[in-house]
Amino acid sequence: MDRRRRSAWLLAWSCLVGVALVLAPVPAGVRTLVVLPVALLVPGLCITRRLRLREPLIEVAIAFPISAALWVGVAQAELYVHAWSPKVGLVVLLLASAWSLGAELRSIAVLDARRVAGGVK
Amino acid sequence: MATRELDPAAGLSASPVRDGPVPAARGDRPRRVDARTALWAIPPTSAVVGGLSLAHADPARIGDLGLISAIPVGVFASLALLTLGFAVALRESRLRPALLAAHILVLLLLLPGAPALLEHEPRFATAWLHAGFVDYIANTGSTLPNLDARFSWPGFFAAAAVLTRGLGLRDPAPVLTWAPLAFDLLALVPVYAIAAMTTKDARVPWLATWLFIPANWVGQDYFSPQAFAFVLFLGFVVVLLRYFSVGTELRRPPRALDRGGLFVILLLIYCAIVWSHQLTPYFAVAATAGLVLVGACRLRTLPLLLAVIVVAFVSYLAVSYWAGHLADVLGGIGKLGSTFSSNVGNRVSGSPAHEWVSRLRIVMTAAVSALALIGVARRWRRRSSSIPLVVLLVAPYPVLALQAYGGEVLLRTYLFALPFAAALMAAGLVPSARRRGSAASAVVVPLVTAALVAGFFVARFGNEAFEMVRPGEVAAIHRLYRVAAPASTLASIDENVAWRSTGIASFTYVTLPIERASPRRYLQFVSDEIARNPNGGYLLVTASQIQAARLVGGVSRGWLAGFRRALAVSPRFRLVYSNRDARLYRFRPPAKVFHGP
Repeated sequence: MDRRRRSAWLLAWSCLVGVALVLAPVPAGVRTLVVLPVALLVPGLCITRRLRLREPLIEVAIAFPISAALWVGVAQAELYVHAWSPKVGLVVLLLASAWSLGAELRSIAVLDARRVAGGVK
Repeated sequence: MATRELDPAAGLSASPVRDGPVPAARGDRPRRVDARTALWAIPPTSAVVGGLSLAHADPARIGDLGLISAIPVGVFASLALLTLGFAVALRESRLRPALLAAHILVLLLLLPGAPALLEHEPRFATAWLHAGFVDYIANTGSTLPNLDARFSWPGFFAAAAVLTRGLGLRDPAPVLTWAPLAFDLLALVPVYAIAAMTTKDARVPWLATWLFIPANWVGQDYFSPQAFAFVLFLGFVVVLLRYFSVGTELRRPPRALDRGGLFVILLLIYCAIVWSHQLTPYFAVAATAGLVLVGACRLRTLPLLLAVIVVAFVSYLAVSYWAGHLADVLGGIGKLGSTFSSNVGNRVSGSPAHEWVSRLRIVMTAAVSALALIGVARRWRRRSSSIPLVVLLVAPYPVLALQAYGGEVLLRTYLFALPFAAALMAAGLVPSARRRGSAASAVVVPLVTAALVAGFFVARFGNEAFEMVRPGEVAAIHRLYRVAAPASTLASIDENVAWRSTGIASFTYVTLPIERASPRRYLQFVSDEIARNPNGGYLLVTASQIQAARLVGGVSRGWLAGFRRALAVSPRFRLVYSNRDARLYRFRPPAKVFHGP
């Protein structure tokens, strides 16, 4: 498994574990220590990976600003449409991040399959 | 962090720095290998010794010069060792990014992280108030723009409410304690990236990141919208410089579609800034406009678009902020003289110790600016263009012409110029490959760091005598919330009170600044103010308020002792709770006299 695929798996799983911890009755301190770093970085990393910048330093440097902007967007949307539910907002954005990483993994698999098919020819 | 150079001219093709002598083959020089390995012992040793020293220090020793009075010698020894280790690591022929990053992380822990380790409660009353805003949004799903202007920019508070309440965090203390360290850590990566994008020398970004920490004395990294917006601003600049600046040659330039995506990211980050903080959007507009003006940015209409977004936001979504007092909001435009005096002259006031702290802040600012100028000169001599960095360095200053911002705009301006000043300072201090062996170049980085660190503790935490929050104060505030009737008046003699972290709309909070009249007359004034509320009220006097009145307000110890005596004998106030840090008085309204039918 190459590095890009490995990191996509890792990030997707971290989002899913985050969702599980948000919903499970675990102490808030444990949940925060595990989920907060994921919530602050992974949504942004999903977007930078989609853009295929291939510059790890830049991707990491802008991961938090993008994640933060997404959190502001989610929170403002909940405020403006009077649908305030912090837990739902948290779960939705983590699931969306996991879905985005899943889509990336699928596209990598499709590309690999094409490459193999091309090699067989 | 990678050591690859991000110079626009060099692109990303450059390999890690190898401009020194080629390292010896493995096994050739066991002593050299040992010395290199020994460097790895420095960051953990400094972290443990410095961290334990801080954890065992006595916060009661914090005096008129602030935190420095309570810093144990073990911390200074750790910082000295760390600085030497960093200086040696920076001079190695082959840089070790993990080692340099470890030194920077420990410096972060021991400088801005010092109060978190030393003090028993999260510092700074405003941070507690911000926790109160978050608490209100988390509980109600709405804002209160008429209660406080900051609610007109709810982005940060709402996002923090989603995250903290979604994670089940109800106690704000851990968030307030560790927020400065987290914001600083998040800022360091873009600071490194900005410096890396503007140089060919891989040492410069490491030194810029290192110097940024002690040079950042402004203390705007507490749990606040400005700390949040500052990190977003840095991300905005990284995207702008990397993908939309003229002359950037990327090894693998993004496709047109991805470039469109980056533009959307730029706007997304900017909108989050606009929704979160009053002042930061203007710094982003100024930085972009500056780059466009010197022809360094491809997006020529971007400043206009950014200006339209912020004006539209203020016009439609922040109406309650300016409605009714537009003259106050716009009155400062162009009044540079009064802005300067309220930001500099008026701040050098109060007790002699406080004046000393204020003067040191001016000296720190001047020193950082001078070092940045040296960096410009050195880069110019090497024929390396500093134009984007210099533009970004000076771009925040026109914002001074807009508003005094409560006497704080100069602080903010310095903060928004600092990442670029750090890159220039580093360019001026990093020894060239030719001079790397000289003794003079070996001492420059440790000496500059030592000077900045010494200044940092006083300039950054010089107000700690009243910005720290004592355990007794928190206990008194908890007691106050248990006994105070809803809608009653809660009064203080100074604004440095760590209350309002909950129930911000449940009480009427008033701060009654001390007048220089006699203690008895001032107490009568306090009594009259509380008496206006038929629901009654309480007066909370804490050690922080007393220290602030003494150090900033210039109130004498004798006056404060007289006030305490006047309170003790006043029939209007009854002491209901006290500890070594706080006294809580219940207001007793005068008995109504029955005058007959």
